[in-house]
Amino acid sequence: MEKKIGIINRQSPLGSTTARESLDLTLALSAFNESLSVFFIGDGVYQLVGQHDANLVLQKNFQPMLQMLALYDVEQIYVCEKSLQERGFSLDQLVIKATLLSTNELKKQLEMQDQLMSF
Amino acid sequence: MILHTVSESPFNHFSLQHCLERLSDDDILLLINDAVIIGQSTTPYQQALLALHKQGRLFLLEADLKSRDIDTNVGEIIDYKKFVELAVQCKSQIAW
Repeated sequence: MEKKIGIINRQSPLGSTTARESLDLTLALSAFNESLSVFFIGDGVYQLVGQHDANLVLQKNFQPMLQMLALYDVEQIYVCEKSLQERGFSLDQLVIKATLLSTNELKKQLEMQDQLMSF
Repeated sequence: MILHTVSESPFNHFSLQHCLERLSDDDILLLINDAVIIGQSTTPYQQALLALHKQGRLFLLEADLKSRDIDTNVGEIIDYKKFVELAVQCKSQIAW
């Protein structure tokens, strides 16, 4: 049976290239795996809010590529509710469709994965 | 007079705290890179930042705010040119 893979995003979008690399990996993996789950925790939630203009800091604007997740059938996208609240945001401010998870629900989801990758 | 720059997110690092604890009365604080998040988030340092704001000693870099689509409640928004002016104006600089 196919392994359940979870990708955890914990970094802000433009401070490093980590967020971009994680999204590249997620889109590539989606071609081989249909049980992908993507998690946004901590500063990772900043990847999903606002309209970024990465060109201002001489980077490539990868935020629109988040829309590709749906096209690639990556639909299990989870956001840590606590992280979102701590930073003063709500679900309707996210640029993609996602499910909010409480700390306990998040623990359960993470436990269900066969393999986890943290960015 | 020292120009202090903080560049890390307040949620992942202690740079802001470390900097504020060592800020002298005439020093300047400039938030750059992920630290611009501080401008819109509620941290335990709100009072300290507000005090700096009132004294005109708190600045945030425009390119880092705009690229992240972040607004700020405190501080003066400056461009790279003003950043250079601050660096010249100050005797030295500390990057936290």
